Amino acid sequence: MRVAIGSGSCGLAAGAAAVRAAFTEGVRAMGLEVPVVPTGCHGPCYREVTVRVGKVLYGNVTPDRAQDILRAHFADGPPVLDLSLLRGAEAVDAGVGAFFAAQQRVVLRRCGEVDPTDLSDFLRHGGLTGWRRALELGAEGALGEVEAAGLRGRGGGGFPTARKWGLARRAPGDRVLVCTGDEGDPGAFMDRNLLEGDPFAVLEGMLIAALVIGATEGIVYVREEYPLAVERIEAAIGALREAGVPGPELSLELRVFRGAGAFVCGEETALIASLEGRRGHPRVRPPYPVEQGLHGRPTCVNNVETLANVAAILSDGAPAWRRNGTARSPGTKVFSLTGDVRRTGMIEVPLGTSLRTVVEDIGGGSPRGVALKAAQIGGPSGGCVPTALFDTPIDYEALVETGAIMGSGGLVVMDQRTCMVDVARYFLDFTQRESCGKCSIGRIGTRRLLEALERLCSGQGNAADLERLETLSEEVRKGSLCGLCGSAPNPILTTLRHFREEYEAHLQARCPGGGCRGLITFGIDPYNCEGCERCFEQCPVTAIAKDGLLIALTLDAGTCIRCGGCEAVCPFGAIEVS
Amino acid sequence: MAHTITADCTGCLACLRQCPTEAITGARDALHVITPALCVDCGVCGFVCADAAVLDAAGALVPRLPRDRRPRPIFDETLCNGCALCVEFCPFDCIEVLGPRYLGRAWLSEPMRCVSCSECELICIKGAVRMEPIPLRQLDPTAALARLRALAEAES
Repeated sequence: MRVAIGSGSCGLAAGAAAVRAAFTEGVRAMGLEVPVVPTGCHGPCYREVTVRVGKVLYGNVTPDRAQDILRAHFADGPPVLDLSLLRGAEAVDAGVGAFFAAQQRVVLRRCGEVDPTDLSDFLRHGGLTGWRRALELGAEGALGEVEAAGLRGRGGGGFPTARKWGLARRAPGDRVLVCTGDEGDPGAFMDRNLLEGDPFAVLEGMLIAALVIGATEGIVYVREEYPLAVERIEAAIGALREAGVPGPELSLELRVFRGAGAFVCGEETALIASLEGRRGHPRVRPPYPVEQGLHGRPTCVNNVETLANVAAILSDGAPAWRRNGTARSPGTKVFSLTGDVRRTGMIEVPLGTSLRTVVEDIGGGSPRGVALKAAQIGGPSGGCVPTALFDTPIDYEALVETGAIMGSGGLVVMDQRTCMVDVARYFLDFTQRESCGKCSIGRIGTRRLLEALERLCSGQGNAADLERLETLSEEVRKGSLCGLCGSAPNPILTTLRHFREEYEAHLQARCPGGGCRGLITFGIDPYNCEGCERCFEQCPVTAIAKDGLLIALTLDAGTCIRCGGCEAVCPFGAIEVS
Repeated sequence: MAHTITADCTGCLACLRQCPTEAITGARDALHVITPALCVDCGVCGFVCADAAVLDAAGALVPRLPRDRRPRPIFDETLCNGCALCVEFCPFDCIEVLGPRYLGRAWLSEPMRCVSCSECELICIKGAVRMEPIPLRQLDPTAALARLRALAEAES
């Protein structure tokens, strides 16, 4: 029995360090021989700090409750029911029960269970069994296993991993394996959590991949913004080296490369340019990196989650791994579920699970009790799937039919209080700034698209803008050099396709979702306001006034800067947006 | 007996401001407390509460009732004699009497200030006040006054 403190970036931000200190102190004070270990994220990020003691998972743990929890387990204290989420597989907290019910944790099975800094702990939890099996099978056999599993790249494109490996191992030269953890999508944190929570599994996948393609160098590309992930993966590489893994059977030099955080470096040719010390500019393919990549050497680029899946395939065997998912898209997929849902966090579901299951059963619907509007899947390259299409199974092909893409796994849920034009503007603003500037259609095209959206969002748009959005989107999609700008119009195209009436409302300077600050006014509903004065205290420009006699407060729309602060603090929903 | 506030209270001050007997104490973002000796069990704090944190004297949760749907006093003009007891009792000065005392009629002159505490109904010795859930936005004091004026004129 031990105390596992969820110490991913999410947990640490919520105060996991203080909780860990309190548990360590408590264990010492009670004279116990119980290890207190930091682990990766347990999954339900909305209940951080999470702590697992034996079979019981606790949420919202604060340092002052550490004593209660320790006493419940190691002395004769009463069980701490108010913080308990799960006891074994049994749900104590109904919400958390629903959060886990539809999930199938394959890649994340050790995340939150093992100490990510301790190789021996990883081995105790079945680590490196995949690697040992790969050694038994040999390079050919391991490749056959991945092929039989039908694993597809989890970075977004869904390219069959075995085919990529097959191309790489046939390419002549000194081969390189790159594991990319350059996760730049707004709202995505799968790779970070995996690198923080189970770095050895990613490295195990790299060992297997290197064995198959015959790579002599393995590079983990992580962005500088993920200091904890960098720290843990570096420590894990050091630990493997010390333990003599891999042995004489494979000569592989592993190292970490810190990316400077450019979104375009998620594109493999730009990533390779960045590895070579040049600007992160993509180049024309072919030649593909598997033929000519880093310094002209054959380079195989695989995503963090893909490699973690490889380790799982080899240790479980392809048939067992294939039990999850569909025929076209086998396996599971990790998603970072965020936005307007009650339960946010890291989830893993079998491919083919419907979006509705993910958003409503796991996520629990809108926290504001408003109907949902759409789910944004795939980040800036993806699109918005409206609620009407929530029964779409999550697999590579079905998502493309809705206009979205699988992407790397960011899933942002939006409710009725979201303006879809503003969402498109947000993503274009992102891609326009992240565009590397190499090709003119990408550089100028995204700029012009953003300008049209900005005009719409400020009520200055006209019908020509709407038409231009459609035609220019198509041109940018076709004409861009790489996937960044080529997929940048996706948020526009999907919102135009599914929410055209919102665009049309913006032509009349109306914003039905209430998201465009330039087109809305705030007011206080005098029949609902209870006079608590929270908004009065919140308002940064004193646009809200109170009358000592009347209960309801009043809002001066002229002074109001539309920051939305009053709406956020009003407990009664009395702030009207029109 | 008295109403009580549970730990679910987030300290928004709304109930404190609407309590007719000023029985509630508390500060911003701090747990509010009802002084039992002052509580008259009117339930307004429960109607107001967005946190579902108010229990009645029997310990049952008082459901939230938005201001628009709370009961407001309706004055029966055939029974009311304008004694003005309700005017004196109303903690929020919502009621006025048209005409001389004991010869006039009471009316809800400031519906926007009324918190639905039912004190007027309890104090009325004529049984002329009835609490009815009339939507706040349908209560028009100018129209009510005009009607009473017309009635008084017709009688004189």
